[in-house]
Amino acid sequence: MIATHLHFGKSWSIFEYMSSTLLQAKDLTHLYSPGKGADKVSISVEPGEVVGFIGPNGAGKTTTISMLTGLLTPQSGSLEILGQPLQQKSDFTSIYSELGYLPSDSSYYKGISAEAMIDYAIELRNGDQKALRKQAHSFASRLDLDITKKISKLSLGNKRKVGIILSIFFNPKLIIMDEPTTGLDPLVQKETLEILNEMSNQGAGVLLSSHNLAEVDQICDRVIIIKAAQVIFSDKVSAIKKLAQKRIRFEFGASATMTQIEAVTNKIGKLTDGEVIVLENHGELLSNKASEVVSLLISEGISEFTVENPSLEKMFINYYKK
Amino acid sequence: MNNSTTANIGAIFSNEIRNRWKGVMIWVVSWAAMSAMLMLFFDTLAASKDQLEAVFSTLPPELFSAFATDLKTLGTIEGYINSQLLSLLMIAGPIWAAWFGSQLIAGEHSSGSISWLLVQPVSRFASYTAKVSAGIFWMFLANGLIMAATVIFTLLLTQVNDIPWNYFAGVTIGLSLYSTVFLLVGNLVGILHKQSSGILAGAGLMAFSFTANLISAIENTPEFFKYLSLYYYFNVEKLSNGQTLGGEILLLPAICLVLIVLGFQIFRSKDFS
Repeated sequence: MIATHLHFGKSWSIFEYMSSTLLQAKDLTHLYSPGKGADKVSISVEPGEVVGFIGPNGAGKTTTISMLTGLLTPQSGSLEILGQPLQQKSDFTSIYSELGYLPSDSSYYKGISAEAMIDYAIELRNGDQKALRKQAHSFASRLDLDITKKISKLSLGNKRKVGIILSIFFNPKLIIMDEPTTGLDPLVQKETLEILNEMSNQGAGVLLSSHNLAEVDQICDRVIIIKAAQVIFSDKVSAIKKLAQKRIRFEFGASATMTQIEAVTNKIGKLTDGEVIVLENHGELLSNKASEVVSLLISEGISEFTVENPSLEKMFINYYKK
Repeated sequence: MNNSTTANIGAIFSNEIRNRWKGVMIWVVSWAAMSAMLMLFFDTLAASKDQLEAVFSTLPPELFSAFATDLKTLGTIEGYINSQLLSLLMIAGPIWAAWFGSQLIAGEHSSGSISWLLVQPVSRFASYTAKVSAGIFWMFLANGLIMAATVIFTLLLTQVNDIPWNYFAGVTIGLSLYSTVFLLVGNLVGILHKQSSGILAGAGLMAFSFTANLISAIENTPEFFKYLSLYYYFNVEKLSNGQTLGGEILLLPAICLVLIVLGFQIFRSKDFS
């Protein structure tokens, strides 16, 4: 339990809710057809945690998020947000004051400026309107957004920025974002992730659906992989990496002779790319034949020997190939 | 209803007013211009009333009835407005009203902004109430302004000095209720299916109502046909003959009430993903 009593912009504190799960979804199901939609999806988000929700298009990410935000009624399963069981649409109204949601499609009222849109969002919330406006403007400045422009005149990336601001300006306890960095330039992507990181450090829980595995790798504590409507993996990012095998790459120098190459390939494996041998199943090789490998490296003209750490992207692709 | 709900209804209502006033004003100005143009010809037509009656009397009376034209009152300002302005407004107005109604919720669904609105700390009751109220407000204001412009142009562009206020008041109320029915049909069907279906439903209802009115005017047609048309419940001929709208008009607010309740029942549990 955290002993300090950290205060945020609002009246709640980290001490107040650190012990309770922010989001607990069990076996949420909404199937449009077999394998299409979400089938018995279970997700949890703890305070201070950033959870990555990944999967290709059509895997069921948006369907799941729609159920989590009350926009779509689950056919079965249970959902609890901020300790409140949510069964009907009307149950959600009270949790919306603490839920920040960024839909995948950044569509707002085109005829008004981003500033008017923010003011409208502030109007719909209880609390210190001045402080909320200040907070929203501060995020706009960090994301480099000119809020005086009409929404219809904004680029896709800038519309996304409006959406990001609208989903976080009130310091929500739970943030659900569907592809937050789509259309953003790298600098703003970085700033967005930093903001989310800060908010999670302050105790907010974040569920982040993304295609950008580098960003999931960078920011998420835990990752949930969904495939054909079902969750196929849910664990810490470090755990998924442990499951993966490192790649060892042996590269022959230009002076290597065919005899040298054959000597190595006979012991280790076939050439995979020109004058390169890449081994995925290195476990046995490194543990049982380490001395053999080292002597080969010395004697047979291998110019480069690298051990590559697997990226989340590689892991993800491996999972999908299974 | 607590203070927060009232404040939320107020905020959404104001947003609807802000977002839609330009479209409504374009509609009002177009019809006001039409009204001005028609009034330019009224004095000429009133002067040649007898000749016109002689020509028109050779045509089938059903035709006049279908277009809310009464030969006996054609030379009066009320009869002239009925036949020249309202006959068109009662055809185009419903389609516009149904389009307007389909914009309220289904339009936000098709543009995507509903996903944002529905996750604000606002009950669906408050969102629905505010949006439908704003729609009804615009129907009454738009028709009120068109009629007010018609009164002004009657005074400015014709020799009529004695404005039939009861007629104008009756038309404004009746036309607003009539438009509101179509607004709510567009809204309801839009929520049920999609925005374009809302517009089509409004246009379909208008075509049905017009056809039923046309058929009911034909001799020996069973009487029930007239009850199938909304023209029966908002009878402008009665107004131009110096009568009031009568109890039949009360059916329109009753229909509106049913459509409002039905719309909410569907909206409160509707999935928008």
